[in-house]
Amino acid sequence: MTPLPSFVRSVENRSAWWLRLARLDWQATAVFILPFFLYWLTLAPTIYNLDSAEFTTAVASNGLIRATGYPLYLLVGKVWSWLPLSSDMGYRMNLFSAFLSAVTLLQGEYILRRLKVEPWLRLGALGLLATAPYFWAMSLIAEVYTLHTALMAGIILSLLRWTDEPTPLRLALPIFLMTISLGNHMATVLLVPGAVWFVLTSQPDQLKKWRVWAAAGTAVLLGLTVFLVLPLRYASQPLFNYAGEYDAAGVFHPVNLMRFSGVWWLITGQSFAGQMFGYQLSELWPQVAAYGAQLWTAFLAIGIGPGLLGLVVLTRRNWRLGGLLLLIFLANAIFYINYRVVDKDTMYLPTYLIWAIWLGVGYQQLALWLQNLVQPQLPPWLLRGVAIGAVLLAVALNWSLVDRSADWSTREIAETILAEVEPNALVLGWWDTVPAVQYLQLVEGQRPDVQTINRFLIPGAAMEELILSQLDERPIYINNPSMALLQQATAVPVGPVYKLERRLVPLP
Amino acid sequence: MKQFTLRTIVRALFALVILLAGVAMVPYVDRPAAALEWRMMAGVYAPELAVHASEGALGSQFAFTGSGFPAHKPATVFVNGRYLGRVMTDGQGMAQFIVQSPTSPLALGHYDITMEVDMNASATQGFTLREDAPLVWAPAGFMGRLFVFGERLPQ
Repeated sequence: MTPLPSFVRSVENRSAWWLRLARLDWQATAVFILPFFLYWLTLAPTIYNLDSAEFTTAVASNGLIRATGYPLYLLVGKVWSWLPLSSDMGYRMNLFSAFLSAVTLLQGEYILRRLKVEPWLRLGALGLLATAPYFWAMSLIAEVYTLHTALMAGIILSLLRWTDEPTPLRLALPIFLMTISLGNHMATVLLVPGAVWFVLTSQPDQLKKWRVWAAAGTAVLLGLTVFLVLPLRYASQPLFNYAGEYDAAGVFHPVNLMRFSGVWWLITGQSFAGQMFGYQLSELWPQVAAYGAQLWTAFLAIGIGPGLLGLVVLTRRNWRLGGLLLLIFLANAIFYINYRVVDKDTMYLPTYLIWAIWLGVGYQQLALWLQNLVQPQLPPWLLRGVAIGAVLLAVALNWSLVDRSADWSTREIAETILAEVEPNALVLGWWDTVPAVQYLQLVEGQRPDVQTINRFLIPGAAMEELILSQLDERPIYINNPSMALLQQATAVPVGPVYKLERRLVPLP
Repeated sequence: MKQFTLRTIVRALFALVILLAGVAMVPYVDRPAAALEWRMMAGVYAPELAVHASEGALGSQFAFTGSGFPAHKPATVFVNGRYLGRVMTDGQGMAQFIVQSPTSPLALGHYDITMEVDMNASATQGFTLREDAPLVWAPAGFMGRLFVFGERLPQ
């Protein structure tokens, strides 16, 4: 056979490209690319603080995180960290969150398609989710929340696919996703009541088949394998380990993750049990109101009415699916409203995702109501304009609230501490001080002579004994000296920490 | 035709009300003004001390709630670093107490209240006594030990 001349082949190649482009799902591409671009523009440029520094350091140094262990994040984060996206590991892990947010939104697009929401209104509903202040903010730093929402959207989507064709294998997928999701965030248990409701009401007969149980059991077992990350990492004796406690000699005693009891202690988050349902009844109303205000802000006011309408319409149209979404929403909202921690505002993202689905359905219902008016084309276009306009307004209003693209503060603080402290110093601090310093030490190799201890990992009595026993032997720095400590030592500011020096005469 | 028009108008109005329902709440909800950044959450997992009002007139009562402390432990309460008294934390590591401020004009100014169980479980929260601030009282039903100090801080 005679080969075609090169110019003919190039025309053929070009037309094949055009064909591929023409076949591309542009709506889905836009729902993924536009928010990802927005997040990339506003992304934190390097290591971020608090949990973010802990997660990044643990991923990069093959370390272990505090309860609830987050083995799935450690695993998939490690794979992501191998991608040659930047020389700065902190930036790479921040970008991971942005990617996972975009994946969440993409799955939201497919959920709304199934609910027969038209493209512009889907974009409007998901756009408000993408630009909600806390959703946006959590997409810019290394955190577990966007992996959680991506898995949650995947669970909902795979449950919907299962009802199209209820085979055992199709049911195994959401069960597998839910089980591995427990390895990212234990709040996945808050999805269980809704999922059980959906399965029981949609196809109760399926549960009589042994194949369904066999597939479900296999999915659970496969999903649980993610927890093997914990004993495997423990066995390698990682330098960065937040699952354990320091003693009065400054020696770290890790929780034994080769034993089931140790893994169970870690993954069930028993150290945070005191904060769960931590409000008295009289304190609860302000928390409910604060959540309402946060939801209102997230969906820029315009999304509240249509969201409620979507809840009603969807529940009337498909009470099984309506029950699934409502139970997930309520379980998450009630749990976190009652969770007494400073950063709980960042934890409501699952409820935002559900609200965005309701919002899409609500927008669609409004479009249907407006369709038959005298000017049949005008009102739906007006509604589309409002939906897209709200997203643009949200971008404009929230940009300055969430933009972290110039935030080098965490690196600067940590570098200042390492530059200021004397050789062989002991640095004690909370989450806003220590994890970022440890990142510089373990990931970038700076100042290995300095010992850093997160005060979260040392009991008060042990810390007192440690400080008082070593005060004359090595330089000791602390981020926030207590009253009891100030009776024994003076505190001289050194950068963002204080250097402790023994008082000649302790205060009474 | 008239009936169709009426139905159309009602439907359009209903849609408009739903669309703008959230907007009607604008006067009642404050949008966040500060950037959402890590300093907002810097106290995460550390003990926390909350006060129900940040300022009040002379003679005001300030209701404090400590949380995230070790459970069932005695905690010392300080005002500007001076001993004020002790409270016990409950099973959830929480404790409540009320600070009764002095009435003398000499006492105007800022006060830092510290609740401390041990060297590593300490939290501070303040209030300011101002002439032009309203008199505030502990919320109804708020239970907790009452601490009183005069215009001269306890030694």
